[in-house]
Amino acid sequence: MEVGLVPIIPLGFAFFLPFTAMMTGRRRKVVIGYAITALTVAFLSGLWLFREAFSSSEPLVYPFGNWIAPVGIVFEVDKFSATFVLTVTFGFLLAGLYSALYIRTHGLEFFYTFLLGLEAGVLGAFMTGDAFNAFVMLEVIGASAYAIVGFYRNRSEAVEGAFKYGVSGAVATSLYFLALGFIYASFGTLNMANLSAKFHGISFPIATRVLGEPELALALFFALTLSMVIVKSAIFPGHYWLPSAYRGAPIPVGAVLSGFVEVVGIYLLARYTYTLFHGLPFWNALSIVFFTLGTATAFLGSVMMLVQRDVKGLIAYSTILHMGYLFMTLGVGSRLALLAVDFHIVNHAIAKMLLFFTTGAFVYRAGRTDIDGLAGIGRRMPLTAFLFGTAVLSLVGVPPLNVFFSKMLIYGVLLQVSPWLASVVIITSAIAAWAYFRLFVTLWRGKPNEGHGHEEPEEREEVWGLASISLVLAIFVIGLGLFAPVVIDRYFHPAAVQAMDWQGYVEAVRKISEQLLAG
Amino acid sequence: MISFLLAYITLTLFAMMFLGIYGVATRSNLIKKIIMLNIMGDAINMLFILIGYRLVFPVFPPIYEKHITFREFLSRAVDPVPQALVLTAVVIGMAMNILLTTYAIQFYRLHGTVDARDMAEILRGEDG
Repeated sequence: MEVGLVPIIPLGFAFFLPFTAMMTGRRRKVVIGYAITALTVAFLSGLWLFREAFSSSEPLVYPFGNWIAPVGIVFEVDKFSATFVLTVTFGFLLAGLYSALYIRTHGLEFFYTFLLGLEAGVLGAFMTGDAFNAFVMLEVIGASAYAIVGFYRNRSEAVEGAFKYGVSGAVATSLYFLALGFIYASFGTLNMANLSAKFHGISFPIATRVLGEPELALALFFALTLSMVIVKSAIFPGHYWLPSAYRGAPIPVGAVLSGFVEVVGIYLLARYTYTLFHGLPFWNALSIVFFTLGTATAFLGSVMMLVQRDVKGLIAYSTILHMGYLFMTLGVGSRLALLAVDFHIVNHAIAKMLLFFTTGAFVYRAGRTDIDGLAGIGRRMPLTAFLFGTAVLSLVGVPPLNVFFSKMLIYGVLLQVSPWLASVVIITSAIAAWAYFRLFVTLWRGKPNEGHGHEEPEEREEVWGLASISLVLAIFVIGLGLFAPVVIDRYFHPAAVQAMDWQGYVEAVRKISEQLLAG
Repeated sequence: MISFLLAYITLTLFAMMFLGIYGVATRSNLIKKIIMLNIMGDAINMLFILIGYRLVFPVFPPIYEKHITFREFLSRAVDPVPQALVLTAVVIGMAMNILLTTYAIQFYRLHGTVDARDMAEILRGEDG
């Protein structure tokens, strides 16, 4: 098996899904079986890639079509990427299983086509070793995400959310394209390893010279990339599309958007600032931008959580809050900060998926998403309510659960910079905890309000299928928490070490390029 | 003269790009938003193609032939990489256009309007 195959698997399956569905008469079971097979194969390939990356001492490189690095496109997977690849394939498999039970409308084959396309895009963005390929992968993510957010195309909030997301995302990726123009004009290459080599003054085959003023080009590149990330990852001035998109999206889509798609921007920024251009001349200014916007985002997310009347809106602002934490942490610039970012992305994805999935079970039973309409439903679905409580406690940061450990790491690295910054994590967590607490109390103790004209059956039961998928995630939430020191030591620490090692990152590609050039 | 023209074109393209962003943000008609998005995208694509441009005459096609020296080829052939990248971006842009227009049409089908202000009002009405 080859490294490059990992994102190709979901993409290939996605491409043939509509044809297969058409040929077999759009039978629901065939579509579900096909999609789950695809997601399982993708998960197995992710598992394989994870083991490969962790057993090899240097990043895995895959040149597409055997074209050498600055000329062709390469995939470069180090341990940092591998942790995300495994989480993404696992998360999408669970989301696929969940959708099979959750999505009841027609057109399931298109839903799965976009879900697989989204997975391919996210995997590609995490694995790529080429700045332009990252742009293409962002657009692959974009096209699938805008389409899948508007899946309920007869609901106006879905269409509105998808349109908003689409326009904002298209502007953002166009700006990133312009950023690539500046960097290409100066560095003459778009290969990540080659860019890093030129920045650090290492010799690299074929593209050797730097033209113009590289520092100015880098400044423009970072300004434009930052504006892309601000929109794509929902950081403060660019967060406006996210609540409407989440309100329109089906629950399992919200889970993968929140856990993985938003994180792609953060990942690219981490890759550029920590691996490729480590030691930027204007790093101090950049890190102030990270701190300021991250703090603003965290406060905005947590305060807006308090005033939400829609449960999807509350989760949407909670995602914005966590993106703010990640963005702040990126500004620190140490290896421990990268470790915290890596661990927090994985933990947040798992806990947020659990939150989405349990909320989805409530919504599935009640058929509505406003918090008043869900009042008192928790008591009728005790297992789901328990799992929901686990997710909430984890996201707030209660000790034995997983997000606590990454929040503690984030707190620790921010404390080294300034106690004020560290206090932001505490204050916003407390505000978020209050919002979650009120939501939980309403779900558990609240009286279902009459007068909405719904005839509500007295006894509602657990949705066992959805609850069992949530249970798997809950095991991970608790397990990652209990074994956090071991997990950090074995996986996340080597990942952060390797991601900071730009010499190794350049060397892995350079070696292969020189080998191929020599014959 | 040529360098003046080049500067003029570059500045115009930047102005077009900012105009596009301004238009996307301020126009309330969804179709106009999509049009402004295209203006912005095309300005960026043109800027990207300009990177590969060479201010020389005669210009060679970017296909290496044996009777030219390599150094002369490098200085006289246009850089084909930006064109390849722009080609990719244009195709992606087309897909985005279709998708966004579909949503605008779908919203028109549902509510008989393509105005973002009406959109916000309709959604607020559904919430309460």
